Amino acid sequence: MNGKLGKGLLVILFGVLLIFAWHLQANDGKAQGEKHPDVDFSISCTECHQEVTPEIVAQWKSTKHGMMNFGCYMCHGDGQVEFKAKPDTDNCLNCHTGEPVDASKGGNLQCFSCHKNHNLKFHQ
Amino acid sequence: MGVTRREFIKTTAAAAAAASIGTTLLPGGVKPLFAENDMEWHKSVCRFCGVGCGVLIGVKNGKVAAIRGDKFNTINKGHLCVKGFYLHKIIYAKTRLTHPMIKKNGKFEKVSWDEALNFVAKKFNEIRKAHGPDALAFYGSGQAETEETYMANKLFKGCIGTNNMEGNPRLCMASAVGGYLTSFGLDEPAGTYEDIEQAEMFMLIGTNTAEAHPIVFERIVRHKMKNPNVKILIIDPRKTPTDQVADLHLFPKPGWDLAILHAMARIIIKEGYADEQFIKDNVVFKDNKKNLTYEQYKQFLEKFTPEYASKVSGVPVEDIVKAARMFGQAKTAMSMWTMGINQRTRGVWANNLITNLHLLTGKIGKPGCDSFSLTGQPNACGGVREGGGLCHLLPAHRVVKNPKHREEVAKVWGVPVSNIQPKPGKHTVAMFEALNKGEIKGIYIMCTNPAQSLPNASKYWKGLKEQFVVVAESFFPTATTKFADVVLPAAFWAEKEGVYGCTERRSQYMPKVLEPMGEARWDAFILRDLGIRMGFKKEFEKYKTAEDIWNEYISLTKGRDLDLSGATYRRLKKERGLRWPVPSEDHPGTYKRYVKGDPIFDELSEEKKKGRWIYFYGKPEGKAVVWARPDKGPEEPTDEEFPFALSTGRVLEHWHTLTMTGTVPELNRAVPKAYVEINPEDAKALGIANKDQVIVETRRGQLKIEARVINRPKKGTLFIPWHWEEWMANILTIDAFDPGSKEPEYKVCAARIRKA
Amino acid sequence: MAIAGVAILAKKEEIQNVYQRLEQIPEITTYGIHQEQYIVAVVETSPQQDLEKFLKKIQDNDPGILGIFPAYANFEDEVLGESLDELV
Repeated sequence: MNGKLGKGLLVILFGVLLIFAWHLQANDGKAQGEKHPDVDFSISCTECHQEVTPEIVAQWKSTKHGMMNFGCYMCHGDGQVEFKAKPDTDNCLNCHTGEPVDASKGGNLQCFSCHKNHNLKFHQ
Repeated sequence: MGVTRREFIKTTAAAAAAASIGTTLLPGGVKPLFAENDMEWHKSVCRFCGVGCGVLIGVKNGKVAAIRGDKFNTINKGHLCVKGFYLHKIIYAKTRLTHPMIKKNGKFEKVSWDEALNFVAKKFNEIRKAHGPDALAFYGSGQAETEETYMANKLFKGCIGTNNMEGNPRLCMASAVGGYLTSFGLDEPAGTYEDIEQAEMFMLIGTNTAEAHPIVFERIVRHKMKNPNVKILIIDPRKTPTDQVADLHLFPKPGWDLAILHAMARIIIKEGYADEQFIKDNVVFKDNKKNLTYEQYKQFLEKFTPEYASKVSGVPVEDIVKAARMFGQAKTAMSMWTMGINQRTRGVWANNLITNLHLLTGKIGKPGCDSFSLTGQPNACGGVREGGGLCHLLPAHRVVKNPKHREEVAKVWGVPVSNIQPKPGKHTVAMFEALNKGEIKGIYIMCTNPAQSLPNASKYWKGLKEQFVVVAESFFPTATTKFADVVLPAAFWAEKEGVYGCTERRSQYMPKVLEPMGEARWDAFILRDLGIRMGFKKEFEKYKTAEDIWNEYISLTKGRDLDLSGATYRRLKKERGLRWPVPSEDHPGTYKRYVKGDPIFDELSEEKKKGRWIYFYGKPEGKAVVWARPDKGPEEPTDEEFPFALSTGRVLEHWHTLTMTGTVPELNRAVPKAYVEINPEDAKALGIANKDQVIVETRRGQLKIEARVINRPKKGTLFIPWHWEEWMANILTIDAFDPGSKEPEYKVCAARIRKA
Repeated sequence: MAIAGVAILAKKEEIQNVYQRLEQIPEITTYGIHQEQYIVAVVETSPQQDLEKFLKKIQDNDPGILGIFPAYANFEDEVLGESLDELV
């Protein structure tokens, strides 16, 4: 049994190293200091984007996220204090660790690698 | 940490398998284990609405750094709504109040806790001595923990000796309480959220579930997606995001829906959908004066033809018939409602008429069947309804009128029974009225913002300005702190431990994971220390921990319908809450009241039950009441001068008076300001275009606000979300209240609108 | 009870379907498709189930699966008699 546990620890160590390596890579790829264009921030994201990018808003609205009104800001930030043009998936795990989607089962990819576009369809 | 040994091993196993094929598992899978291995996760409960979602608080380097839905909590199964998603950010809001202040010469000055508490104690004692205990009052909150409300109750009702002890659930839940008490004899629903997944039909009336109770809505959506035959009926004057799942929507004129409910009952009986055996065994009939027979009740219903209901409510006849059949034909049905029903001058009656449909069809007490009131605040049920935080109540569903109840409570509190007055104190509207008149001279306001949240709010600023006002709050400034003479900084969620009791009778424990910010202190201990300084040392010095207070409280629930004796801290810390009755530490809690499995039902003698499967033990002979209530309309119907019906409500992204959600940039971005929704037809007739500035006016005040021309409100109605102080909707609302529940009619008043 | 990490080799053209079928099996947690032909998964069997027999049955019942290759197995609750569902 000791041998088994020892082997387990080795595997964990290996895993930690891999994650560490991935983090370096991920931080590299992340755009720094992105800025949302200066607009009238007294109106909401969707109100403006309904006009400037209607197809994106329509796509989002067709999903359960749209149905539940999980707004643009949840992935992209509020646009002023924080803005991520290409969002990371940090926030996904705030909810998706249970039913019906458990992102922690997701494997080797960031959520958005497979869940594409604003309807987040799988492998589209 | 929120990771079990099992998850740890599974991740290890997966990483090993991936390594065996020369690949790696990246963050999606392993993050909770590796990337955040210095994050400590603590099980808690969301701070916002009454749904009671489980959350995990992530603490890193002594700061709350993250929040996550608790997937082991059966209420939300890991999901959060947008407000809960940002809950952790609110702790560090710039508007946190961090030290006590006393207003001196019109300006707030920072003072020590000693100075603040001594000052309040001295002032309160002076007022009490000069004008009697009823010149003092307490106004609390459905967001306060049960332990906090318990301490206030003891201080004001038990020690100071006044029943002027209220809380904002009066403005939101009182009619539901009245409804349950008159229909079943006992407060709070028979069923739980578990009924959602077993229901064939939902009647959502006076609720915008999608925005006000998002996780309940999500469960309904998921259930309907899996079972497309599930039918959803909505009765609401306004089209809302909840409509995304509606099969049928009835749009009554605001305040005129009672006739529809009676008409539905009439169709249900006439077309044979009633469960006659259930009625015979378990139901009695009453009107406002006397008992009725079933035949007399049917006679009463004769007036409520679909045509009559249609004329009164403006809903097409065929829709009313369809709605009744939908309810009648479904094998199981669950109705849910909230402020659209409760905040009415006939809120109790409206509650009764919803329950009538369940009693007539026997759709109660079975899986998938319930008349289920949704709660607006996280601890309105637990702290205020169960804890007895209203002017006529004592802890554990007791009432001040009952001498036995007073004796039981006085004994546990260690005060002379003569301290507790037998006469109810002033209910909320009367309390602020008395403040205006100077009959109440000192008030302690805890964890709520009445200067903005009272109906017809500006009317009550006079009293707040003139009398001695103490406000215990986590945030500063608020509309109410402006009027305060003393502000006391209160520890916020996650900075204190305690219990919240949510909509489905479930009590859940919240841990303290942080020290309070600045000099903030826990409300219960502020009240304890104030009590000691007012001269009640013996009564208060014994409370050293939150658990001391909780244990005393649950001892008072022993043998009551809400028996929480088995819900000890030890258990609550481990479990995802317990639903009362839970009479002993080995009891699992109760899924359904009044039937087998409810320990109170199980203990009833067979002689009493006479073979019945359901027994409403709050009523004589265990029979619930079907009420023949008149179909009265709103207090202030529309007329030529004020032709629109104005309604107020919530948006998904904000909560109450913005003291919390207003501090989150993302949520402000989502809905940055208030607006008035107006139907396109009405807008066209008045020459109002989208985004025009308009004036909305009622008999009580006027408001300049942006118009949103949208096909949501029914023609002839207006809607304003009420969260913003700058666009304070409650300047317009009416303070007329239900004579039974004393809950004001926020949801309907007459208004007019014009271009600014 | 056993917890095992396995790499499952499947026919490339079938792999999406295999993945979906595996997801239906309560004992299996999937961890993504890799290199177009491998599925990483964790199998949790009850004490009454024999791990090897279980894996063989999975493979026999799914024509899309070419092979199952265990990389790691843990039997510690059987050995130590501890509950795995305690938070660590």
